[in-house]
Amino acid sequence: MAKKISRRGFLKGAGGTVAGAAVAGMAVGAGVTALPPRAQAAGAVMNKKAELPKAMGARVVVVGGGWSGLTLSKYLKKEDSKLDVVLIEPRATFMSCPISNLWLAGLVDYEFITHSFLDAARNNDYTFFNATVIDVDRGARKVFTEQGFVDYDYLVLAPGIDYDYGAIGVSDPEDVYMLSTHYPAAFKPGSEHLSLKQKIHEFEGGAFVLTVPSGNYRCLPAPYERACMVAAIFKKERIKGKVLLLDANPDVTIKGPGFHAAFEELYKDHLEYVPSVTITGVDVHKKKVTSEFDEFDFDDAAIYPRVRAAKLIETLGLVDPNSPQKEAHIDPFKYNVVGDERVYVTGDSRPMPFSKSGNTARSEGKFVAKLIAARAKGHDVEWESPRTICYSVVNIDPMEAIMVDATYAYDGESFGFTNVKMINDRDSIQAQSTLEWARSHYRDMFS
Amino acid sequence: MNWLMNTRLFTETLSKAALTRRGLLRSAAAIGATLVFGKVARSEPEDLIADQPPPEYTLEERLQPILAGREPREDRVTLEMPAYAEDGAVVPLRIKVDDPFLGSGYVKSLYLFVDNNPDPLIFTSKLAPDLGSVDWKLKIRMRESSMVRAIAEMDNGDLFMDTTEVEVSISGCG
Amino acid sequence: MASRRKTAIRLPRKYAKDEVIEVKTRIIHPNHNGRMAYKDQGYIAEYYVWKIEIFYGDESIITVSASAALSQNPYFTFMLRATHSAPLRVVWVDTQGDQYTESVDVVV
Repeated sequence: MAKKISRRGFLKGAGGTVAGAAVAGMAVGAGVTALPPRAQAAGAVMNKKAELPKAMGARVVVVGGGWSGLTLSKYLKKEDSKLDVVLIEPRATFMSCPISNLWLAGLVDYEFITHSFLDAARNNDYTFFNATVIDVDRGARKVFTEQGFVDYDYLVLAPGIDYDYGAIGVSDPEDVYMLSTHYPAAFKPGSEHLSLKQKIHEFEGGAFVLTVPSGNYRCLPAPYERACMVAAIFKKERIKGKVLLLDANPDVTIKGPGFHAAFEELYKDHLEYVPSVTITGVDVHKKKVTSEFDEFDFDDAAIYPRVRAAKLIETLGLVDPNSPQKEAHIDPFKYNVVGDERVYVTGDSRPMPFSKSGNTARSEGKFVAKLIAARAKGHDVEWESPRTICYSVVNIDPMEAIMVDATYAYDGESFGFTNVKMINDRDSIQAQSTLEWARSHYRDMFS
Repeated sequence: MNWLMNTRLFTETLSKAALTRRGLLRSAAAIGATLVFGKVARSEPEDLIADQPPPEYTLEERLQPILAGREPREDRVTLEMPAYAEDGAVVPLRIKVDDPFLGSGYVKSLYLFVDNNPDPLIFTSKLAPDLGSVDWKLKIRMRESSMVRAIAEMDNGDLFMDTTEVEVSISGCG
Repeated sequence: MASRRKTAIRLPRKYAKDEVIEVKTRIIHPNHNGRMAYKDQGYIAEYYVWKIEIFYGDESIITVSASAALSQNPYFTFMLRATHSAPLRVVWVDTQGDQYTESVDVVV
């Protein structure tokens, strides 16, 4: 990296706004300073009805335009065209997390993983509302955004994940800012991914640290797939550098034989896998990861911290007190908030130990759409397991992949994998299936 | 029989039990050695399959031989564990003994028990007299929520114990 | 796969004579406890580290005899008074009878 990171420089550059906001925030928190007049007026804006087409039937508001929310919005309309569906999403453009590792490695282009919410809404007859949810009044059935409120008959929250840097020993807000800005995880698609791609392609040599968190993190195989992609680029570009993959888990969490084979057979000189690394801190300035056993110096990194449910779930008071990852307190078979059949939580904020991945979210979304459509008519439907189908590309030349396909069963106490089909012998047929799988999902969500 | 003998018997039983059960093992991949391209491919121990899981023990069976009628005092030993362990496969713990080398006395052995594990005895140990301090960290498997107890035995036979309750959400024992 | 059973010992960077120091050790080992079902064909057999023995010079200073309940990739840290310069050796013995030894020099 050419630029040296200086804490001082950061404070000077961004200081005006960031430090100012922090002080103001503290003052408001302490109840000393009132909001300035225009900020107070924002409350009045929120308290007006948002300017959306009039609801023509029972309205289902879906919060979050990821794989879960997009699927729900489409399939609610397919289940019952009389439902009025509004998808609220703060991002203006869809960028896919699945397949993004392939884009990092140059195997697909940016257009392959980037799509228009407008296409999705127009082609599937629902309303896209580009706004940020601030609060929900479950008594009055209103969702508040910065552009006004939306009434709902049913509400589905699919806000995805946030990062828990505290779990890797980084708690000070300034340190979290530095770490998430300089070494972003790149598991929430957008600027993080663009940064990472640049880092990989500008890397001049040395150690490139990638990490695998503990717990049920977003997409179990993705960090291993990413390690393979980055190592493959180093190998291809003849860069004297290697990926140092620090895993909080004692071994590769899924498709172990397939990934180990790739590490050993393809990337012996460009990838080092270190299991059971419990990270206790990251020093952005010294470029050092400390763990309870070792310290690891790096030249560049993408630090994937622990994952928790999106903060919106906590803001709305829906966190399950027993969930170590702050996931929502819902009925595990019906997805509604315990005690409220009008509000549902799906996707990566759910507390069930399902894979936090695209296919899982989509199969689950179809089921929850069916369930809500039935409940709106006073019926009910039986629980259906989500299905996890997940390809991981481990080689770029030739392009080869491994895969897993599984559903879930409930044994009376907990959920576990069942009907598992795993292909650990990498081949190009699986790689072609990877692209076909992605195309069919994008097609289904956006056209 | 004194307690020292018991400790030794325990360790021998632990290892012998593991060795004799090898008779029932078969390879997950193939049985015995296979010739692949002129090289002998040995089945790895981690790929072996057993017909039965190992036997289970009660806390009584495991604890009594060590207590041998003695009542542990509940001070000097500190067992630190998370009250809530997310993953039973990896539960961290720390055992400290206050002033373990006071006067002529020293900690001769440390023991750890998880009441509800299939085998409640996690380890026995022997310590030299001149280590300077006893402060250990390990990671263990827990099948389910359980009381965990750490016992320190002094060279004069005095026992000290600390217990803690750990809630486990995902079992670490299969 | 024996080569995958990597062992390691870590001492503090700096310490004085007679200082009580923390020693960290670990081994990469599956440490199967024999209770995990293998598909429908029985159980993944017991295969675990049942003994960790620490030698300071020629003296055996700590012996831990474990059942199958240490976590995968067993990890053990303990305190030691660095009274003299001598090798510190950790020997891990598993239920297959294999021994894995790692050594560092304590220098005071």
